[in-house]
Amino acid sequence: MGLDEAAHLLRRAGFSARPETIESVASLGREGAVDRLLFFESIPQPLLPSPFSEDDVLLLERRLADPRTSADERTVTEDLLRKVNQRHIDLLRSWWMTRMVRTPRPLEEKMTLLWHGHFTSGFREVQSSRLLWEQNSFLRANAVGSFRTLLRGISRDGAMLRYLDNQLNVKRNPNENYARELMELFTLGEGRYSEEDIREAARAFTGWGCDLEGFRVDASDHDRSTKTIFGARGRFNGDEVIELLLRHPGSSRHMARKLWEFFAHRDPDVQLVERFAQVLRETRFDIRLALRAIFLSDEFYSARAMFSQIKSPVSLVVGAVRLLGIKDFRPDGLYENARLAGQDLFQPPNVKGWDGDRKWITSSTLLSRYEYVHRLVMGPAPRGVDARYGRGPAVVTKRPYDPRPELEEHGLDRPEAIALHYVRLLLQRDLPPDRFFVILGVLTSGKTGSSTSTEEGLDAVRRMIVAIMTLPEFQLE
Amino acid sequence: MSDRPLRTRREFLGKGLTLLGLGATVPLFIDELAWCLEDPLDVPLLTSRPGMPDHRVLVVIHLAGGNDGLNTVVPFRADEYYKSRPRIAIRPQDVLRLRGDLGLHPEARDLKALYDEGDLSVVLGVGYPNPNRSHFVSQEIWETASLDGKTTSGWIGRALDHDCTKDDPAPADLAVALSREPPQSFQGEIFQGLAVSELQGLRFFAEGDPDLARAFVRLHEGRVERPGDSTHLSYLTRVGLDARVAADKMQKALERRVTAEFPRSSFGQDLATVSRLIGAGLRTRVYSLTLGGFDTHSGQVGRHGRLMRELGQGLRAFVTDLRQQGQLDRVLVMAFTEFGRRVQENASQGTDHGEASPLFLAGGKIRPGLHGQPPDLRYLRRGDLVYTTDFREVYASVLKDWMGVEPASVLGRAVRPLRLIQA
Repeated sequence: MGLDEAAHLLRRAGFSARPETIESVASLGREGAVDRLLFFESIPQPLLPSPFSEDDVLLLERRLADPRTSADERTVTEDLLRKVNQRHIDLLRSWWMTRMVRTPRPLEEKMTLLWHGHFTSGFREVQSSRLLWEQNSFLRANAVGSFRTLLRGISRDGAMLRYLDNQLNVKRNPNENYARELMELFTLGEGRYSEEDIREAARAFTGWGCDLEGFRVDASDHDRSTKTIFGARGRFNGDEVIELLLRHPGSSRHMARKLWEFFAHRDPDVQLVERFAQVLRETRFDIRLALRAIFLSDEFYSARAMFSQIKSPVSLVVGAVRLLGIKDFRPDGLYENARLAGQDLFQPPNVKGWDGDRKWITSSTLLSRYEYVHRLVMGPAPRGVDARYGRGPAVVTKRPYDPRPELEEHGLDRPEAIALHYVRLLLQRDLPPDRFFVILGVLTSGKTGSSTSTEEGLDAVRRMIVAIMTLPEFQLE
Repeated sequence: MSDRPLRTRREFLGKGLTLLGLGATVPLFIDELAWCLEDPLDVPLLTSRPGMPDHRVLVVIHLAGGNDGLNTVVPFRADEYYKSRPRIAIRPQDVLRLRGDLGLHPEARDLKALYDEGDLSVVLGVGYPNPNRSHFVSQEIWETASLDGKTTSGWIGRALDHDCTKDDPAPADLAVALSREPPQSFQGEIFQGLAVSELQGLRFFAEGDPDLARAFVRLHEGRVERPGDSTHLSYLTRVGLDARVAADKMQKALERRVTAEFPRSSFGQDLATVSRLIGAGLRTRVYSLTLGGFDTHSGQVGRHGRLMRELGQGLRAFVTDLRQQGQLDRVLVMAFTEFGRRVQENASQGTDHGEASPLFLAGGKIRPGLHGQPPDLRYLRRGDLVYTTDFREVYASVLKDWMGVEPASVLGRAVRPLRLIQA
């Protein structure tokens, strides 16, 4: 497997990788490399303690659920619960950023991120960090598992039931929200069902709700009568609707297309999608095997696919830390920067998730991306600077990036070698000579013989790195 | 989420509006909203657009915590007022008279001056049915303009969504909040708004490093397009250059000296910043600020007095500065609070959460004076003032007469707008 192909696989199926990892993955050959990334259970995952304890929250939630609680106590408890939830969701966000940077199983997190944007739920609407943490864990546990398991589980998920109002979906007054998004967004895509199908499917999910003990179906609220969905008649419940959806040829196509567009490129040919749709159908919707087919295909490594995607904010933020090998990062700062660049974990803009691609880039989100890499490399801004702008940028590290270990390890002392090394490390391809020359100029400008043993010399290296990371090329993966 | 308005907007989105200039470079940071074009060849639309008149600005100030309306616009002839507040009521001789039976808090001298000049108006007894006394919930009601408890999008966001949608980046800086996060009112289906204390969205990273800035420009301007080049690269290059120009404009705007004396508090400085931004010719249409501290459960007299002074001084400096710049006619200020306070004072010489409260408007195009009726002190509901003006009627007026947006499409129902703004 070529180094370029390996690098591409590691960018897409993960959050970018350093040269040594690229080389070792390339040496496995395409199939070996893909299987190593996909069958990641054998790779030990160092334990990260849970982001927070659920006990405090459950105590407050029980007090609220208790009919004996007085109105005044209720107001106080609600306010307190809101504050605790806000604190916890921030901890969860930090936890996940740390996990994405440090994980030896990048595909696991990349798929969790994909599902996070597919089976969307938002903190503002759900107002429970506990439920969102449970959802996140569920998505991770089934990241490359069975799509059927994902559908059945997400239909029972407390955060999702709240987010899409299924808590309000009862026999005498059905609420179609969940059924609609289940068809339109989660399985079939627009136009493959009728309003009638949605109405009938909504009835199948009536009574499905969550309380403090977890998921339960309230029999008195559940409509057991006959429904007609996609022409089939039966007393369908939620799980049976899921089966009907999986049997519908639209679902394998919709999901195959989704996976291809996330990992390879937009607007694939119908025949290409059909190939992977078939894999999904033949494997009973085994996500891992569908991904395997995708990552082994020649089209995945085509010129059309390579460097054709704009990095999502999370991809940019996490990738930059990984590539530079920065260890003492502030995960809350990483989350903030991704948010400022347009991707707020646990708060997608709406149920469709993030549109991505060019929509990531506006003048202000691009300025945010530049500011992030600038701060990541140069260290925190001096206090008091930019007081006129307000609070200041989200801090990501406590001190400037130290290039010395990198320079020493690779024996880099001449400017040309230093510039070339960082261009290849960060862009993972070469620049045309005229552009490379400008990058080199940042390193050598003003300092006669930029010796990296001086603070000035190190600063010049940093500024050169920032120049590379603010190139349009760095926004692509 | 199941709101009907959201469905309509999703369908609206599907109509596929496209951006003019599929090959040409489209300046992204321009003062007019050029991106909502239904016909890409319809060039005249570049200079006009649906929705908001292009020169108007709305400044929303949240008086956070629940401003005590009774001590702000004082019913100094009402016996009930004095009986309920033996220790904290404002004495009749101290009020700044607005009319025969109502006067302003004595510390609100600057508000009175603005009122006398015709630059400030007051809408009395503003609230909503089935009031909620939780800060969060009531604030959410004001921000979403919805009482259904399920709507999470904000009224300003919905108004700006309604304005247009397009294929190119959403101009987040149409609404700018001086806070950590954009308020919920900014959150539309697509539109999200920007928070200025998020320095990142406005500052060019290499502002203090000329060599680095020069290299950036060379690397972007110097990009020669090759056949087969990714269109993403061209796009990123263009946006990068535009972003730098935008940040440069912002920096210059923030450096301008202001002509009036703004209070040194963060509220005063925020107003100064907004004044600078308005004067800078930026495309921002809505600003949002907060003045906190109104939750006066105890020791109200001193604290509330200080807040009245701060609000007055800040607004007066703001109006003065805008007038000096010739910008006052472009600006409408709306200062609201999430609820008023109880009529009866409590045992700590303060007041607890209540209901209706007055709302202030300021600017060059307001209809001056008092609007609506003060709440009737003789007919309270469980000790609270009953509202006389639904806040959505105020919003309807702002939406229709100031922003040029059809109120029903934002508020989700037909609302009779008040007449608060001059034609």
